[in-house]
Amino acid sequence: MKWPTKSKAIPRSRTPFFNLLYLSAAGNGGPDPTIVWTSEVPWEPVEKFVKEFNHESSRLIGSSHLLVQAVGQALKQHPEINRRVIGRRVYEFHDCNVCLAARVSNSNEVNVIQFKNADQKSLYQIAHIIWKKQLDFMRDASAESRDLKRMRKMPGWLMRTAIRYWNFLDRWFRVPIWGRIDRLRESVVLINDFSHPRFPNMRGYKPSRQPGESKPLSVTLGRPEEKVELANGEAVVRKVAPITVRVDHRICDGYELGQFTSSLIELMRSPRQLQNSVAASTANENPNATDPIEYRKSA
Amino acid sequence: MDIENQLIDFVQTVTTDTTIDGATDLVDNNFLDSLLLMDLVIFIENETGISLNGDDITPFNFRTISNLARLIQQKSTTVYFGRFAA
Repeated sequence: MKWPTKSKAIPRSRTPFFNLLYLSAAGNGGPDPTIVWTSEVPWEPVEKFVKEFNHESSRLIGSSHLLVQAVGQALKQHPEINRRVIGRRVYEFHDCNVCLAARVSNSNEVNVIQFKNADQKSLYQIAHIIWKKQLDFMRDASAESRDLKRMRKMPGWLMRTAIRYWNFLDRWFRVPIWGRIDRLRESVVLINDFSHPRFPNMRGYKPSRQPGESKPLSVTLGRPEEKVELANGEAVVRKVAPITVRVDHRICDGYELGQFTSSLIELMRSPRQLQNSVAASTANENPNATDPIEYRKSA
Repeated sequence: MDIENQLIDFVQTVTTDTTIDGATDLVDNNFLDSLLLMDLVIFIENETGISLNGDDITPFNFRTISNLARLIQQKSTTVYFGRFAA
């Protein structure tokens, strides 16, 4: 049996008072504990790094790959964000797992791809996972797409009843993971990458809360655009992409969210240092790891 | 219409950029994102019956439409001769 969270809740003595306030009062018509922080990621270093990587590597990557890696590392640096609420207590997740929502254009479905231990995954490994999962999902060759089809055949009343009771259990009790269908409860965060040219510019975005409490964190990246900024008294044009981070106030407050967002942006703007951090994480956690980290250059 | 021209038409339609041709660098010019990549894979499968796998998704194969067309032709030949090898 796999338990996504540690067995002991975060002690109330270590929980800030205002988080306790939300823990006591949120739900059933109580206050909305959602906090949203929108900022910008400098896009020129991201673009430059992705181009260089694609010239030297045998795996094709895009901004989503870098974002998954950066969120994994940011969670490792800020374990106070890698938590969820169960009942009126807060529990830390065991691992820095990350989910990415990826649309498949030949179907109406969204493929949610999970990256276990995303803080230790190289871009090569992330690319392998994404392309394999997307291709299998597109061809209905994956177990996940078959599960989705089976669940869609459920009558509406049965689906509503099952979801209602399951969410009740998940919200109030520490429940182990029940196989493949339940695997996504092991991750704290859902990432949406809307940085594609087909989307309009993003001025604001409020990610929804998923049913259930397992994903209190959401990271959304918008389309990069050029912006005029002042540098040393002169107007310069820079490319930036909006990023929105949504979190639950029962887990952390605005200060901690600001720190997390700041780390995430710093990791995205320094992709080479991010690769070094990942390489260091992998060496520390698994010194005998044989997975290839194909692209590694010192900062 | 040969596969390269079909791919050019398809990419021009999806990106709404009619300047794209067989030699345009799709990767460095930021035309190729994950959505377009999946659209291309689906298009190739529907039009040619060729299934690309994860190992085919490389920067070289998807850098230009010409490279992609060459990959499809190589895979078509492999499939054709593979039938006789069995």
